[in-house]
Amino acid sequence: MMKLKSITSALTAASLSLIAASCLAADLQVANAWVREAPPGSEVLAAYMSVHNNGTKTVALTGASSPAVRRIELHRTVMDNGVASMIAQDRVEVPPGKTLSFEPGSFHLMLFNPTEALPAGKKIEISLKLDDGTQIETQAEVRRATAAPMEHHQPGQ
Amino acid sequence: MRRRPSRTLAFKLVVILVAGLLFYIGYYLGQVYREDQLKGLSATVFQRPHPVQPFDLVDQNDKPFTADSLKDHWNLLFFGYTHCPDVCPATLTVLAQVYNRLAERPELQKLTRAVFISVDPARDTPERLKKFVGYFNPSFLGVTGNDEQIKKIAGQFGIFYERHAPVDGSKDYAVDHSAAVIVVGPKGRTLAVFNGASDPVRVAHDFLKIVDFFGG
Repeated sequence: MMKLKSITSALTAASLSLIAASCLAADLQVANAWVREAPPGSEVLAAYMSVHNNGTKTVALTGASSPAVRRIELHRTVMDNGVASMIAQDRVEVPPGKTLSFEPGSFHLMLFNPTEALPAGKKIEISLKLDDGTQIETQAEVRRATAAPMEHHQPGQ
Repeated sequence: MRRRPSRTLAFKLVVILVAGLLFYIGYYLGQVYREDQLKGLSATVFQRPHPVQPFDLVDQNDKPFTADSLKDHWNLLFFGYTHCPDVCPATLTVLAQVYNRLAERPELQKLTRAVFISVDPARDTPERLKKFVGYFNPSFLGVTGNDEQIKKIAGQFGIFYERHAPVDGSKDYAVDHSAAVIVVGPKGRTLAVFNGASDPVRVAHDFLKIVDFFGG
């Protein structure tokens, strides 16, 4: 019993220090990361999330990667006079105390060439690169973003 | 026995004039009310709509798709491409939600569909379009054509598009394009244009106003 307790507390301490370490490293908090489920055969997908900067300095995202796709680019959809353009971003800055939303029609992660099927419900690991050389790991769930008509529902969805 | 009131010619004329005036005022108020229905919509409505000019495209089933194919449907035209990860899936999702919101009017819902016109015919084969568009709603239709044909239909609707050069070291390229959604009614006339579709509740509400304004 004692042993189990001490293991538990050791684990708790370890995970707490891990959390502390990651906060110290980044000051960035990533929440609600999700990937839009793509139609069958798609070679590109978009991922969204919100990024909050807890720190006192501006932090910039400079890239991303995931074992589930070949390549990820930081993108921003810009609407100019009704025309949508996707502009690759070398860096996306998050000022201190601010939250930046990656959302449809705005900033997004563009995922190229999935290396495996990515149906709704699947979770993928995404690693975000920061300008100070550190990385943040986050998990993004694949979600189907449409309310399909009843007859289109497949079993298990 | 009561005496019939005498009706002079002048009296009859006055009655006719007053009736005419009342009729005109009623008609005028009706028009004002009718046009009032279109106030505050997120779409630009063409009150004197023009028929869609002839074009030649091919649909997702390899069948010809022409201006006549638009007739007898309420069409929501949207130009995009299947390698588009953000705006195109987001817009087709909204249009699928708009479609679902028409469930209260099944007759109208049956006639309503999104028509997704590719601005990237080099990569968007009919087969690929069918998979892409069908994912959002099985009654939606994907259409494509050659460069010349796409340029022609885009020009007709004032749709801008431009292909980017491929990203270094890959074959991937993006295409800028207008995010407009164009309403073509069952008589094959262009009735309204939404600058974009991001709020399904708003688009569905405004679409119904447009449908009721023009009727079948």
